[in-house]
Amino acid sequence: MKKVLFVVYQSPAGSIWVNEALRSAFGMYGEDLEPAILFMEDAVIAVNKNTHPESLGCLSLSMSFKYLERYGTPVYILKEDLEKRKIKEEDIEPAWKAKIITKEELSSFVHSFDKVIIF
Amino acid sequence: MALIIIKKSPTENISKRMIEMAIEGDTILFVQDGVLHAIDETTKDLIKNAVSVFVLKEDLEARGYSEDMSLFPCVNYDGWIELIEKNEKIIS
Repeated sequence: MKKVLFVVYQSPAGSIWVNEALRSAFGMYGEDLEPAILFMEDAVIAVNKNTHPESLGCLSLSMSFKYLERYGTPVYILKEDLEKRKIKEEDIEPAWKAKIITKEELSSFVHSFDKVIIF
Repeated sequence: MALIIIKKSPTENISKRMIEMAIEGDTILFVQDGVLHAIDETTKDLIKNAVSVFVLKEDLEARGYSEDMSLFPCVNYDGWIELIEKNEKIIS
């Protein structure tokens, strides 16, 4: 089973890349691929429960929750980028079941995957 | 180890984040607007020891710079393919 990491660094509002990464990950179910997602930089605002891109006519994020849940796709977020954008742990939408990693861990974390694609 | 392909210019923070992801034994290749790192002195300070760095010659020249202006060695498309074959993982 190959481990694939999708790294998203652009905001969920005003760009398609958070949804595209989610869609790409979902497209891997049923293959011998095990997708995971990492939000860093501006993409971390996606996990804030107050974030609603659909209010701007963009795709909503909540439609992804049932797939993440059903297939157990892990979502990781970068601690320092959350802090930089004033997002506290209690602001994080529980449905993401997001795991927080630090900048210190980032390099070895990324290297632990077979394929890494940065959106 | 890993080949890290960086396609964004130094003005985009993701480029710096990807350079920081490199560990000993990795290779960084700058392509597309990422080749602008080849003329940016501050790039050298970000590169860790034992990390190799290359610049895609065709993309550099397409942006008006010559090979001898580059701070790092250049490869052409064939060289890029060799780098892909030589490295077990790709981060791009």
